[in-house]
Amino acid sequence: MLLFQLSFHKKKPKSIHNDQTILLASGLDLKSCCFINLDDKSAEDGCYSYIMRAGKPGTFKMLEPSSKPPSAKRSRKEKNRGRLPDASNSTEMMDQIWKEFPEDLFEAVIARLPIATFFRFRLVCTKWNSLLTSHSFSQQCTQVPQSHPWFYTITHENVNTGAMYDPSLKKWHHPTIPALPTKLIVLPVASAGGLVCFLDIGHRSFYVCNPLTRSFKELPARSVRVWSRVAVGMTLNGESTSLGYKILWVGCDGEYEIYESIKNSWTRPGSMPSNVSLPLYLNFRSQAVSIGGTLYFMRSDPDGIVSYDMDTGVWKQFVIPNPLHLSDSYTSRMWGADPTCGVVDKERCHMRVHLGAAEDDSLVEGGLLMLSLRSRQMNRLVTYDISSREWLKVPGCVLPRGRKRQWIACGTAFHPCLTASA
Amino acid sequence: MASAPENEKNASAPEKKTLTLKSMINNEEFVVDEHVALQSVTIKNMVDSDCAGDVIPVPTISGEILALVIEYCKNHANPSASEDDLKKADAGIVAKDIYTLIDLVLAANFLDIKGLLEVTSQKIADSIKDLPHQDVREIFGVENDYTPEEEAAVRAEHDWAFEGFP
Repeated sequence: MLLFQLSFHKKKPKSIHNDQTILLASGLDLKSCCFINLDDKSAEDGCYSYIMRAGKPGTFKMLEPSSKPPSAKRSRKEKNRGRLPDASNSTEMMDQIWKEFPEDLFEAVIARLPIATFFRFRLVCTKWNSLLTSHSFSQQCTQVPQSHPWFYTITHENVNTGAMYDPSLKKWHHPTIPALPTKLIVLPVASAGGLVCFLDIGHRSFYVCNPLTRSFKELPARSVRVWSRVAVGMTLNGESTSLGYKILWVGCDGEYEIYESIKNSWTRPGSMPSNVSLPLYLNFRSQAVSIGGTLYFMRSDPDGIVSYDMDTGVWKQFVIPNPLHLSDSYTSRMWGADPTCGVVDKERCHMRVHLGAAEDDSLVEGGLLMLSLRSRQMNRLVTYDISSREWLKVPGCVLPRGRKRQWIACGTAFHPCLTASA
Repeated sequence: MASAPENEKNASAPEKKTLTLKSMINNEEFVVDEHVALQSVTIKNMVDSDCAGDVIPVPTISGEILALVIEYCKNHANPSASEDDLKKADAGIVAKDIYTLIDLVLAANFLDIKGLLEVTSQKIADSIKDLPHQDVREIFGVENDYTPEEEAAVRAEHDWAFEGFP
């Protein structure tokens, strides 16, 4: 059992209202990701320190994001590299070589560029731009090892546009998705294969979108006209979105419905079996986690997890009593039949991640947690990399040409994928 | 290894087989252990189908590049090399200017050595990723075939990716 602990010590406790702590937690393996939202008061301002305990003594590092020189400066330096003394001779030679460069080779190079760079380099020529729809290029992309998930978030200041955090460049991006409705507030509720599923705050309409390419779809209306709050999960049929995806919503009365992208319709497979206790008190602060075609939802009374296997259509319930001294808990990830929980103690501002079955390091590769702490005087975002055990400050989310820092309201982790289509 | 007289060499069983690779660009020859050379699928296919003579001519690859390829193959044929060692060795091999890297990726493609192809592609991507797109055109001799209007439209679609770039 590994135990990570993040502890915030208060210096002068103050009574503060409307404070928020948000834990955005990606799953610990590449396929699972979730976002956890604690929407009441928690982190007090004052000094804080981090303590981390692990199975073996770990080193604790709190690092500033690697200070990259401004891109303009850097590019000039890089530019000079491309113009070495002999460059003028070799440029002519290169012209020829690049023209003879086999297609799959240059696709292999472009597939390995950071996502943001890929979009910039669409301006190189129309051929580079057309890669987005190229089958061979999407094949190349699957060859490249996936990096950390990104976080698609909505800020309090700007509910109609998203802010995406890219942990590899340690940068916020501000995409516009013109297809998303602007009259409604739509919240990101789930993700799979690079697609993000949105639900409007009236719980009526679902939207699916690739925030990178703007590939977009509004789902047909659900057949059940119940507008109470629902939990949503999303899975892929295969390795990528090309084989389709499924979205499930489940309500507290046990009603559930599944959308299949292949058929573009909702179906009601049946009713909740008796092994799941009703009413189903879903923990809406914790998003569903998807691992290998199975969705996991956090519930309370009894505390634990319910899972739904999209392939077999089987519901299961795991009763996992919370540690008594903790006031609240949230799933971060479960693994197979041995679920593990992320536990957040709001009162003490502790975060613990229990990794039950994840002692094998390969299972936790690529895991990243994002935690946001806020009060009147503090608005701090941090990420924790499970495999390298490294804490990093997340730079403030500021709009381009803006100065005011945006406050994250909610979000979801997703794996950026250029070729995912809604 | 000191060269032994021919008869003794034949007596000492089992003899390590070697292959000679010859760059057709500058006629440089490299004698390598067979199991090292066989990491190239192209060479393996030649050997398997008995097409390989005493000297295997390698067209379009210079001796300088062939030496890098062989270094890579030697490292990866060493069973006692740890993953960390290999990573460091790979990083050393691809610590070259972009033109050498492009030659190297072409060689890895021709000789069909997947691992070398991957590390070299990644290194090329890393060396161009912070360049303005205009410089990328220049380096790779790609012609800008956009009209100014098209260019502006493509850019507007993903304006967020251009933060900090002209």
